Amino acid sequence: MKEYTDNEIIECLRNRQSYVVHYLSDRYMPMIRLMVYQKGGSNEDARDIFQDGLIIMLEKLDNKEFALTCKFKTFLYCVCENLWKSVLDKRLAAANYISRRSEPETEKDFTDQIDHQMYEDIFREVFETLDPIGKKILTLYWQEISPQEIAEKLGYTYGYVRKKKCEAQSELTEKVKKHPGYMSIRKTDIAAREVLH
Amino acid sequence: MNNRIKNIKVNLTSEEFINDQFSNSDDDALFDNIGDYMTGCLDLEDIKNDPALSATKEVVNEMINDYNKKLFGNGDNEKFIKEIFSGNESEDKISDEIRTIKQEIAEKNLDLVTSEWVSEWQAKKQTGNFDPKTQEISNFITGAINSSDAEQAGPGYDGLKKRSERTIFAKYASLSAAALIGVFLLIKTLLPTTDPEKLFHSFYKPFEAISPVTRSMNNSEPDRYSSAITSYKNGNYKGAVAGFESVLENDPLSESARFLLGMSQLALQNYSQTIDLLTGVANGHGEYGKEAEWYLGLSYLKTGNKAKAIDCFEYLVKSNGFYRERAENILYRLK
Repeated sequence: MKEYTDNEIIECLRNRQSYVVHYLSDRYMPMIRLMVYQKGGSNEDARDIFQDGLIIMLEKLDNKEFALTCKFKTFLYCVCENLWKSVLDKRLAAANYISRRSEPETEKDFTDQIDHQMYEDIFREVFETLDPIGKKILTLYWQEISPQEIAEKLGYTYGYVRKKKCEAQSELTEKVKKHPGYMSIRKTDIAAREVLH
Repeated sequence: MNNRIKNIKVNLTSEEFINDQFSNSDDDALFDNIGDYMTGCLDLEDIKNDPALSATKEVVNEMINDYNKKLFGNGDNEKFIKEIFSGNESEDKISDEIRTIKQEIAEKNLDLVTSEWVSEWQAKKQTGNFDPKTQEISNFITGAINSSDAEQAGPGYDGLKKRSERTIFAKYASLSAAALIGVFLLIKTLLPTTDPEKLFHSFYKPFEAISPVTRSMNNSEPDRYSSAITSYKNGNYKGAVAGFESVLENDPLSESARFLLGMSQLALQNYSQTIDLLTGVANGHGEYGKEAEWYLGLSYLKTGNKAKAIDCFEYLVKSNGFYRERAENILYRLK
């Protein structure tokens, strides 16, 4: 995926180039999704917040005098986090209103959060077991740095970086698949499907 | 190691990593999920270290207030963003459905079964000798498709095509929706809420990272200490309590023994003793300071002292370390 600079992003948004919105969604949705999950939201909440966040930013970016004084992703994160807090405040107020009217409290469905928390714990735990070089290469890979740049940064050959990344990628996936917690979640999924069929 | 590398198709002529795919699409999807999570984590870490973060938060605060009061609003901008996302959404849904189907195929080895069926069918086709039953089925399917084609040629074709697409999509969607409903039903009893008691149960896990050796031990205690740890690891918390108390009688300054005694009391649900023990360890800010703060917060949740629990988690949020994100997570539900 091509990386756009912050200035390119702003210019494309001002010119209503839809491909940059696709790029922003692919690139930054994981971070917003993670933030929303950690603060009690769902995947749908994350999508809504991301959309609304972009709408708000577009209003400001259209002003030619607007100058970005931080990284674009920091700005995006702040807008989305703030938006999510205001959503949570409204939900809390609504929940309090309902409880004051003595209606039965509906249990919030935390399934998404539990599942994601469990997956996150497993991914993090397994990642930490990889050898340091594999970890470094995968970290840079996830930051969308090309293999050539990684090789230059770490002082390895291009071929070594490619090979090492494949090894680390494979080891990470195999270990996650064999993790008892992951196997238990998968078993539950399979059992649920069998019950339904 | 070599077998694992063989499972990934590597295109060494490419400048990008993009062609490093697993031969198994299930593994590809899993690695993508891991990548999504790790990318999110790395971005969040980067943002938290951005020196411009505080100033940006102030500016954004004002923007959101204006937005909430509807002091600005351009319908065209909203339309522009929402149209793009509605397109993304249908594609994402279909990708998710396909991913679920592929996972089920992998789990149940359906590839093996269906490839046998396909081989049988191809063998029959080659010989041209269909048994009567196969011939009847072939005629039925061919006839049905031909009559469908004839209808498509007429008016209302788009409606039929969209209807059949929706039917196919609905089938795939109902498969995954049914699976999801089943998972929700199965795990519903484990769901925590914002209730402190239930939050405790959701976040509490017995402390596990125990080393049998500690720097603070004096030479006379290793056996008693090791024995107490063995009891703790085996779930014999009463034995662990007796062991750690014995260690502390001879070495009252042992922070690790005090902390693990607190953990043992917590496992035995003796919350007031836990709070007494962990308060001392947390205030000492030593080796187990943050762990003590975390479990102290959980103990306060359990005993209904929400204010003190919040104090503990706020302390952890301000400090770097393993418990920072968990503390943030729990604080959002408490406040």
